[in-house]
Amino acid sequence: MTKNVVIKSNGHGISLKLKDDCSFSDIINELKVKLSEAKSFFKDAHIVLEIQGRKLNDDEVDEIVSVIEKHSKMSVLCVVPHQDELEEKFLGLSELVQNKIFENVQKEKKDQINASVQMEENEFVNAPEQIQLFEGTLRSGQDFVTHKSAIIIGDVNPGASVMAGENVIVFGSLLGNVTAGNNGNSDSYVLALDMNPGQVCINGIYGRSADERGFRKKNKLKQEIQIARLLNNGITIENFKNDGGK
Amino acid sequence: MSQVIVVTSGKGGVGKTTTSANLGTGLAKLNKKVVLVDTDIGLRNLDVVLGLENRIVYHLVDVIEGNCKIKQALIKDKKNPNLYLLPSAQTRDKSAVSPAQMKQLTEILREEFDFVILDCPAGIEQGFMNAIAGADRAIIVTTPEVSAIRDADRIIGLLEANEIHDISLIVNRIRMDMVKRGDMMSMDDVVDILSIDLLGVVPDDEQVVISTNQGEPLCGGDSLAGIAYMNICKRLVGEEVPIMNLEQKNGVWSKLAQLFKK
Repeated sequence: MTKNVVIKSNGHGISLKLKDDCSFSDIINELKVKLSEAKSFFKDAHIVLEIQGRKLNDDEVDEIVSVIEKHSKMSVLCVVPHQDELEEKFLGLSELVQNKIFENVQKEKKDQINASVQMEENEFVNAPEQIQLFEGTLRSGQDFVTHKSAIIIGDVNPGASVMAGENVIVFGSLLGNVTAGNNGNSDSYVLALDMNPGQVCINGIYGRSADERGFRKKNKLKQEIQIARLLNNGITIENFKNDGGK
Repeated sequence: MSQVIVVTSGKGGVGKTTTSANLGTGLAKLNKKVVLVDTDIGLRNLDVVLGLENRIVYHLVDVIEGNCKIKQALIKDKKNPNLYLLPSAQTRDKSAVSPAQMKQLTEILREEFDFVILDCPAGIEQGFMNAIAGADRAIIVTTPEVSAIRDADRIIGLLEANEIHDISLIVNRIRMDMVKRGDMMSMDDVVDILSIDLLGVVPDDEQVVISTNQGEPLCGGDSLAGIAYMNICKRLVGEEVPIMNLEQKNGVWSKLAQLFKK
């Protein structure tokens, strides 16, 4: 078996290591074989896909995503390029977040579809400037503040807080406090792979988690991604349906 | 290559001083030359845990202010000829020393010893800043309680902000019976939250209290906590020791009792 593609799992999904000196169709074929072989290994999870080793254009990324979703039960939530490729990451993330997540959320509000299409065309041209990225664990006493949307790749621990002008997305456990929609947008949302925040504030409206007995802990194996939104002047947390693109 | 290690926790009363004393003793038993530095100026007690309080003549502040030579202030341990203590001052406070002076001191001690272990005071104020100033790596001591973990998390953030990235964790005073009942966090839960490497787990053991009161660290003894501390010391000198199974304590009687429960 050739080794044009190496699949590794990491905390929140899988990473693909692609060779640079072979054709793209080779990669696709090998990926198909490898995914089919390991079909039982990759359960029906929402994953973050990390691609490294090779520069891909949008169409190629889309093809990889569709191959993964076709040949395994996983669904790809977001694609991030490898850590070293910092600049491309910003571009890649914002574009893909725009395509995948934002679109999905917007799709649920059908009356806003037209508006969202317009947004994509007009505002997301400058998308990288609208997202502030943080990688690593936000620990107790640390605040991450931005007037843009915040994307945290890592955990937000109890006692830490994230404040964003727009949306907050956490690829990890959210146990701290989070404020979204500081710019006055009541459609802002908070999305986390493991949603267990202390307080959530969206556009000035606060909600706090129920007083549970016992200690809160991280739940990395959680299957359901959850989203917190403003509904009828209160914060609602519900399971996030990733039904876009189907 | 000598190491300067700071033992810290944020919260008080989780076992920093006990851990420091036991790590020092254990490393000395492994034939390493060790100095324990009590950086808790004003509230010194590492000397008491080691049973050396009657031998103090000069202390840390004397050394830093130049009232004595370092050698004069170092106290040799009763049992381990490889172990020395640099006691802290009882009548001064944390502002008597600056981080730069502490750094200078650790650089001098580093030449003489294999391990320099700094016992850090609770809190995040100047005492903490002094203690971490010269450290290469940090050992975080925490108990499996949300309050201790919250403070430990804060401390890790501060250590990283101060360019100390080699941080490992000791979970102290764990009680497996409570973990099993779901009333206490397991070490995995603690590691999940703090996301740093686990250096060791020390069970809640009444022998620790007894040994502290006697002024003789139990590291290397045959109590469960003594074994746990020794394992940590072995890991510090580079041996690979698996995390011990804390449930092995079950004797014949508890096993019988379990049988009858079923």
